[in-house]
Amino acid sequence: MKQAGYWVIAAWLCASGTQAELLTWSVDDVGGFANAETGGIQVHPDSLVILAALDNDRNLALGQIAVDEYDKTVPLTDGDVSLGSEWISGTPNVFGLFFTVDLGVDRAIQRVHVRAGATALSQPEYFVRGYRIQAARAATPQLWHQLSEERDNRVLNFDTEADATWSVVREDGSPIGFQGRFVRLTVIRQDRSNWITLGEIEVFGIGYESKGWIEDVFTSDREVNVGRVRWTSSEVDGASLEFRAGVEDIDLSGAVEPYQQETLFVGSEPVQSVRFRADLSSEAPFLTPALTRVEVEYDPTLVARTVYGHVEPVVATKGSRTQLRYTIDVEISEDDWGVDLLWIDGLALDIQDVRVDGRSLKSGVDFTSSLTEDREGRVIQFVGEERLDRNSMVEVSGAGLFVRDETTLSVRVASLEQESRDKFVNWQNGKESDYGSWTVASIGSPPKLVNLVSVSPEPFSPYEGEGQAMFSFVIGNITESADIVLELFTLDGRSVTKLVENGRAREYEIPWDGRDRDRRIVKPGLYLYEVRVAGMSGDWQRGTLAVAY
Amino acid sequence: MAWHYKLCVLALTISAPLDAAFEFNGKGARSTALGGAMSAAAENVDGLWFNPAVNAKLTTWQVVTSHALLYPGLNDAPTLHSTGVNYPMPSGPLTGWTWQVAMSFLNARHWEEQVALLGCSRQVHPRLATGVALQTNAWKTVGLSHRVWDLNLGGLYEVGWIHPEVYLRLSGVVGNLYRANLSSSGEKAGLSDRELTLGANIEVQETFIYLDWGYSSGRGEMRVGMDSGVGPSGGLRLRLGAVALSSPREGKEIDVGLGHQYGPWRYDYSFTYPVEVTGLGGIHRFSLVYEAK
Repeated sequence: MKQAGYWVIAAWLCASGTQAELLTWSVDDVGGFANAETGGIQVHPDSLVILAALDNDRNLALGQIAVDEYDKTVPLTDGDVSLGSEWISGTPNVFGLFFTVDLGVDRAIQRVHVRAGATALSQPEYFVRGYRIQAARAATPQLWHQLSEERDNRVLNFDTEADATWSVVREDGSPIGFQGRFVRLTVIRQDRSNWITLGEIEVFGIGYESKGWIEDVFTSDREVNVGRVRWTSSEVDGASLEFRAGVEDIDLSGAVEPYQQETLFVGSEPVQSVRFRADLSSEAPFLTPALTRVEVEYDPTLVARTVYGHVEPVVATKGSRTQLRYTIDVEISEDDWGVDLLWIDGLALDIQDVRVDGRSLKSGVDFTSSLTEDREGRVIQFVGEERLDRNSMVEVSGAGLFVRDETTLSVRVASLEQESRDKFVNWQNGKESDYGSWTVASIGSPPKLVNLVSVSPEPFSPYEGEGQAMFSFVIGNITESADIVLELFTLDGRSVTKLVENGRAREYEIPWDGRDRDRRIVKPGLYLYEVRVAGMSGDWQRGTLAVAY
Repeated sequence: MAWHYKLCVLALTISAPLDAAFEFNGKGARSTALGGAMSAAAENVDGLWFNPAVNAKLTTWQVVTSHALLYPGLNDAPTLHSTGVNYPMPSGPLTGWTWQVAMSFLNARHWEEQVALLGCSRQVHPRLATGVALQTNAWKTVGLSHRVWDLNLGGLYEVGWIHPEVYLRLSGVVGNLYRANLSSSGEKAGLSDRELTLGANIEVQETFIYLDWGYSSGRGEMRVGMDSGVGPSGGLRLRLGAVALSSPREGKEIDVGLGHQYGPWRYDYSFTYPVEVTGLGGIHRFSLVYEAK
């Protein structure tokens, strides 16, 4: 199904003024997911998306891994029984030989069908004359349950296949399958020949597919600033749903962060379409997650017509502060909100200079700046008469610390007027300049896991000043988010308290208020502290801190 | 001897009770190697830090000097130095009293701590001894200092031979009975909580087992130690000790040590391994003791 969903919003027509309301694309507005690209799912009339029901004739073993008793892969799940793909015993002693098929996840197995190899069609003595078929669940792979056994299947020439069909039904007559992940065929008797041949092991079941996806797109006839993206789903243990959204014509699986229920759109803006994808998966045969609703807010009034930028230099020394300069071209028309807020994301930049069209702004008078909550960005707010309401060139200079191999920066702009109208800041994400880059590569030897640990004030009194000791340090050399742990001990090695913050490789500041786990102020004395990354041993930083009052 | 070691391990795993209050003074290598379970360790110069009554039966004077390196893995590893003297009055109106004096000094970056102790003890009955000690604990840091005075009372009771090969001694100490807080900041900074310690010392064929149970501020601490001769002469002593708190999250401590007696001289070494703080090299202590004959 190549055709993408295509909806045009009638409300769009009234969105020409700068004070137009924030609008919403939703599944209801455009008739559900009927035109989406899908695989392995079913869409109900009320737009409920769940995993597709299994087809009775679908061979669940096809393409899965089958091994013999020595864990050697055998070609019994490739859909081919020809001479080139059959399995023939290499020994006359075949009694007790067994083959195991791994279905990947637990399935409700109803029928197992074993087909003979091509050789047996011309030489019936190659048929398996006695067999046992068992299954085991994923949680108990060593506990085999017998599904079927035929000890003396002697109807020559007609018995070309071993069929393990059994049926268990509920009171209403609906079938129940044995829930198992592994299927095993054991040979317990052979024919006159000393050899046997097998072509295929097929497994059929009921329940839901284990994986499915849906991909769709909201489209407009003009560029918009996308706001919050929301989706609603129901999930159960053993089943999950991952939702992603991005702009059209991009690789959703690689370029867009997974969202969680509600988030701000992170793709470059303005855009004319928003593509989303939901991946559904289930570990249990009768469980399915469900996607019930998708909403995408958008503002037909842009903050700026275009925002392009880049950063220089694009190579930094790993583990040391590097001077940077952001150059941001902002094109603003009369219909746009204009820019009051500038978010430099990806780095906790120590701002030294902000210029607009070559004119240097005064910190605290013309602009203020603050670190973002995740300490990986800085927001500049123009104050007083300063705001960008016409085409402008903004230059921001400062120093930043690079600890990753590659750091991707970005710039967003927003309007306070828009925030006042909608009660949230709808950031418009800038684009990378054609002649520059947002990506800074770091060279040099990788920094340690924990670097540059310092604490202030020292000695520290919980009763003076802000009443907290600030631990500052840099975490480097990790690629994923991890728990960053600050733990304090008495001098004789007894744990006082443990503070944990989740984050990536970057600068950290963790305050300690001088209290132990029971929220009591600790006694004066010398304490040990330790900064480490949870789950990563061998690299930590420790020191002493005097508490005095 | 295997059951002695088993007892130590068992005590480490099941022990419940003592206070985790911040305190680090100049206890010697021998007492540290025994987990600090020294309140019933009689005639031992290290014991003056634990129970002022333990040296009441001394007839000759003893002196000890101890030096410790805390966590050599730190850039600015704290150091600790201490000295102590036990002196039984040989004549005069105070005959029968044993006087004890000790001092310790902890030095670290931005932090100094000093402890001074003056005590005396006397045997009041062939089986019972008592003692009292006045202790002052002071710390100093950048722009701030503080001093606290504490009074400790202790008793030691000789139960005697409870079996042809087993000797038992019991003790009790009330620590920080009188507490004077000389603070300029108005906070109860450095004021120690009252502490009750009950101890036992069991001697079995030249092997000494020490048990202390302490209670302070609602928390308990169990200390256990074993001191056994190694080799044919018994001059070399192997010591094992452990400390466990009533609150599992506050960690445990394991101690090992060696000692050697050569005439009136004794050399002691201990290594303390706080289970929660690994990789910093633990705490090393050295002590030199002279026991006049």
